[in-house]
Amino acid sequence: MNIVQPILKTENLRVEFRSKDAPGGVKVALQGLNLAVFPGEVFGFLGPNGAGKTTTMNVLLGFVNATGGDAFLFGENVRDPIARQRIGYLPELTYYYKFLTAEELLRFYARIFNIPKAEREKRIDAVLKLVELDHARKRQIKTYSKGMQQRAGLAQALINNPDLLILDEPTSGLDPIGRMKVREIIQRLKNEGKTVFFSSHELGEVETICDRVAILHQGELKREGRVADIVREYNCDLEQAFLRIIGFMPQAADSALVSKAA
Amino acid sequence: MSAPILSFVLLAVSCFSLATWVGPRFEASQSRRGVGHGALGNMLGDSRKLFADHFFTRSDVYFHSGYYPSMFDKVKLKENHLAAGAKTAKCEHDHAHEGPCEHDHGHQETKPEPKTEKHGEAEHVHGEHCNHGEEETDFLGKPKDYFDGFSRNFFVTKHTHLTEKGTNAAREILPWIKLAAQLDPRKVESYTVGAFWLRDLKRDAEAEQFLREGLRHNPESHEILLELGRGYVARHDYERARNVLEMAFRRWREQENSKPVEEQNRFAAGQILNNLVLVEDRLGHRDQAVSWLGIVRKISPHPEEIDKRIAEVRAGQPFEAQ
Amino acid sequence: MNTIHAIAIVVLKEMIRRKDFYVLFILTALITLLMGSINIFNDASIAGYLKELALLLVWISSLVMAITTTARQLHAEKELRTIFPLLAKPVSRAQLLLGKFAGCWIACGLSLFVFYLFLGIVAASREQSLDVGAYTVAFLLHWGALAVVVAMALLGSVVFAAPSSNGTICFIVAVGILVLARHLNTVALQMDGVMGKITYAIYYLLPRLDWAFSVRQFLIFHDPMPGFAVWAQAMLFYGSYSALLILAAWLLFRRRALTT
Repeated sequence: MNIVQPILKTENLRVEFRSKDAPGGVKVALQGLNLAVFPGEVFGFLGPNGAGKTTTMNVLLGFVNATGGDAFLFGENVRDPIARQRIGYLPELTYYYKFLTAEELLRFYARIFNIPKAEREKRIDAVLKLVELDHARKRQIKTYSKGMQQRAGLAQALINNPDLLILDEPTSGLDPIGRMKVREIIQRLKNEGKTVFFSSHELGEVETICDRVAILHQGELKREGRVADIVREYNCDLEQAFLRIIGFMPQAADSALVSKAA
Repeated sequence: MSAPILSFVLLAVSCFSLATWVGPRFEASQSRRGVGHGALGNMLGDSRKLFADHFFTRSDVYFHSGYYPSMFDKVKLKENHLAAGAKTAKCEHDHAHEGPCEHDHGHQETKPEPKTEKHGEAEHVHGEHCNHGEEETDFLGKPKDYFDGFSRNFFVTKHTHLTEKGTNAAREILPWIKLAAQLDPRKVESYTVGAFWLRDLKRDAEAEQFLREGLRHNPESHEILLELGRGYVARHDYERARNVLEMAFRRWREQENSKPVEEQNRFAAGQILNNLVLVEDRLGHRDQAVSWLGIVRKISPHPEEIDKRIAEVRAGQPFEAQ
Repeated sequence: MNTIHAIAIVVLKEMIRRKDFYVLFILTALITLLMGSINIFNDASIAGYLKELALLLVWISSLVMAITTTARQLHAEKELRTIFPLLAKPVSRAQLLLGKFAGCWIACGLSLFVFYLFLGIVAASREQSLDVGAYTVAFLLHWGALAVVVAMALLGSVVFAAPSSNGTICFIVAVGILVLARHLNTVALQMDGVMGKITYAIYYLLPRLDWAFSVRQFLIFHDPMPGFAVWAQAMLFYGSYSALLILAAWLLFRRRALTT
């Protein structure tokens, strides 16, 4: 029987930062995080602000070095640039080289992935069509609206046809139509067998599209599991369950739940 | 009227009042100056004299095709010079030691002391400090280390003159001299040296114009008048030359006669008088020529030599200026 | 190599579209043409002062271009957050540094080529002749020296927080080397004790940008340029020094945390 290896894995991941305000001058951003994301699933990474989500992503992407433990992408240690060969990353704040056109930006990133020239141009055309930026491909990015820049960011994340997509708050700042389009793209990628790992505060969306979630709080993994299982366990929607898991449950809401159950 | 506007108006009025009070006093305190410094001169203010000196030195650097001691080399050379002992008091103007090559060295005629190369090949006397045509680098010395030795591939290390590079190569020094003259019209050397090289380049009209411009700013300068006279002598316009040279000698007397003998610029007087003798000789005025030689005899350190020249002139031999 | 090449092309595109170079070139050209229009005793063939001025302007412009272009590269990437999608690709920090260095250096080389071309045209118009070989040697040495300046600014961009402080310090160091490096050993020998030794050590440690700077004199006075062996040694020196500075930048940058 074949054991499916996780596509993204962290083992006792620990990250510390120097901080004047923290006791002992050290702030622990992540404490012994153990995560596993398997191929083909849409994985939601949740937590309140300051929980350690961004730090985890920074370690996975090689921006920050872990103080302890390890992280792996496709079995490769994240310290090795080759680990990022098959991933696509969409940051929360999308800023790209303003003096380049969308086409030039994609060509630049495609070169980094060593995509052959003929295939490179095909991929650029396909991706620009997918994100509906074909009409503006020759314009410099500094002329784009925020929504267009977000779509350009999505395009660059998809240029190498990644097996794993890491999205940091992909619907942040988007209007409802933009959010719907992002959801559609995530669903399409899932249907193609891709893996999506994303963080979000929009728990309603997470509940709709995610297979599994992990909930982080103050650097610790509080809960990991299937969305359906968590919702069933707490007998409420994902948002309420999230609040309970992180230990935040206003008294009135708690009473309302008790009376509802009664 | 609001407070800020009132304050501004008061400040403006007081500044204007101060300017009207200070202005005339400033003008009165200044010595006679050349007018028309131009935009560059006005922008630089009094520092234009420093720039003028720098550009005049630059012309000397150009004359030596870039072979010139830096200020660090000059410090080192000065120390060496002091250690070795000064040659003579008149050697102080050796161009390898100090800044611009001045036109007047205060040379003694019979002693082969270093003169400025700006006097031209005919007048240049090879001196102890100036080894023309030799490969040895005077102020550089031997390389102090590997880097120093290797670095010498990248800058000029041979002592050459621009005149060795072609007939009209010396024209390259002219822009710097012109700039020096513009910035400091009271710097007489700019005009005399510039005019010398213009004549060397067969640009007599420009040389005369340049000297006359210098005279406008320095009407008391006997050096400029001498150079003007030399120009007329070269063009065989002896009448004009005589007038100008006599004026030069008058100026010299006005300025130098009041000084103690040891401070007088007798070299300059000698040059003026020699040219006067030449001019009178060419005009056929032997008696006048002898009369001038008589004055030369009074100031020359070698009167016996002058007696010989007097005898030669009386005998009808053509006089050659030295 | 693909990655380094791709990053370098982006730097080049930025330089072309930012228009810094055009401003510097137009300024240099205007000043040179203005100085060239001055009447020097009715002699239109005097070229030395013009070449000297033009070469000085070329040096100033090239230093400004090299330092400002390089000093803002990493800072702008971090400030504008473009570094994150870039490093999220299979790009190592060494490749990023090398790509930035290559882009900046090639950009400097292209702009320098235009400057020297202009200078050659101006000189040829006055002197009715042009020693192409001499100008080529001077251009290559200048470009080699700029490699050191670019590497220095790149190291500075890793050390200093702001591009302004980096740029200022690099400019002061570069100009100081051009003016003083050659004479430091003379100064050191005139000093006593420890200060003399320290000064001599600095003399040996400094990158000798003044070699490329000094060959201007050969262009102005029509003296023969250094031979191939000397030129090759100088270029090797510049290349080695640049590599050393880039290595130092990498050692500092590779473990630097970048937080989104």
